[in-house]
Amino acid sequence: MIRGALPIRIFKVAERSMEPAIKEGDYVILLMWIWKLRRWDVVVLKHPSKNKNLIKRISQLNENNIYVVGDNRDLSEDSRKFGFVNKELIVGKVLFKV
Amino acid sequence: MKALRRILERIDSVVGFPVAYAHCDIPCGIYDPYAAQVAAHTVVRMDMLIADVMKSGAQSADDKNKLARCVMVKEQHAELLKHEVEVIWGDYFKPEHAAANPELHTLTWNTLKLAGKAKQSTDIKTAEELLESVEKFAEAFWRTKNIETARVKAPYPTERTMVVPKLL
Repeated sequence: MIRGALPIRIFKVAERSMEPAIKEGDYVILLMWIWKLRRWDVVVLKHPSKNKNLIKRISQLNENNIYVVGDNRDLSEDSRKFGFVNKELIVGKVLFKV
Repeated sequence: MKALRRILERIDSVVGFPVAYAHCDIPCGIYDPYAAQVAAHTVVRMDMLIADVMKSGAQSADDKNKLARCVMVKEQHAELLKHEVEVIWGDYFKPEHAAANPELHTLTWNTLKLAGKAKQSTDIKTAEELLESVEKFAEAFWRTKNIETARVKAPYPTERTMVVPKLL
């Protein structure tokens, strides 16, 4: 999957549902050219019904869809609420945070 | 890393990086039409047992006791089914779900009506109509989550189907 002309992008993280791995205010470096997705990869994806980007961890995946959750389950709005989402909604895969 | 972070913060203050929301929410968001389907199977099963008792003549005190218990359980589970369907309809479904599934409101309304009819009747055909309607409701529910479903034979003495999500 190639998402855009540049191989990497940088996003700033807001809110706390990916703590402790990724904290509010962290920067994440995204790989935009994704060859393989694995369970537990962290991805930035488009919210399935709202105009915003989310950062979540892949809990389950199949050929077309992913099930994403936040690390901080008590606080996270994720696939437990909006279900599986199509892989087309993935913006990029997180390589590392700063 | 600290130096890189300082550089990123400077760039961010000038150009503004896009934001990825971890997105927090308190409501648990756990909904599933499974319980409604189990309740519908229970209604079917109670009608089967009632028919068995009636075939035997329902003369003994034990027969009458069993009959009363079956009617009571049928009543309770038809009511439970209505509650489960109403919660999904009222709390989970959103206007965009109804827009994408134009039959949603009519399907819900018919399911609730059939649950009431199943309470009034011991005709197994009514219970089967209720089960069919709940299965359609379950399929509509999973469709809103982009999850495929299958109708499989339920592991119950009703020997009828139920809708399950294909999660793997």
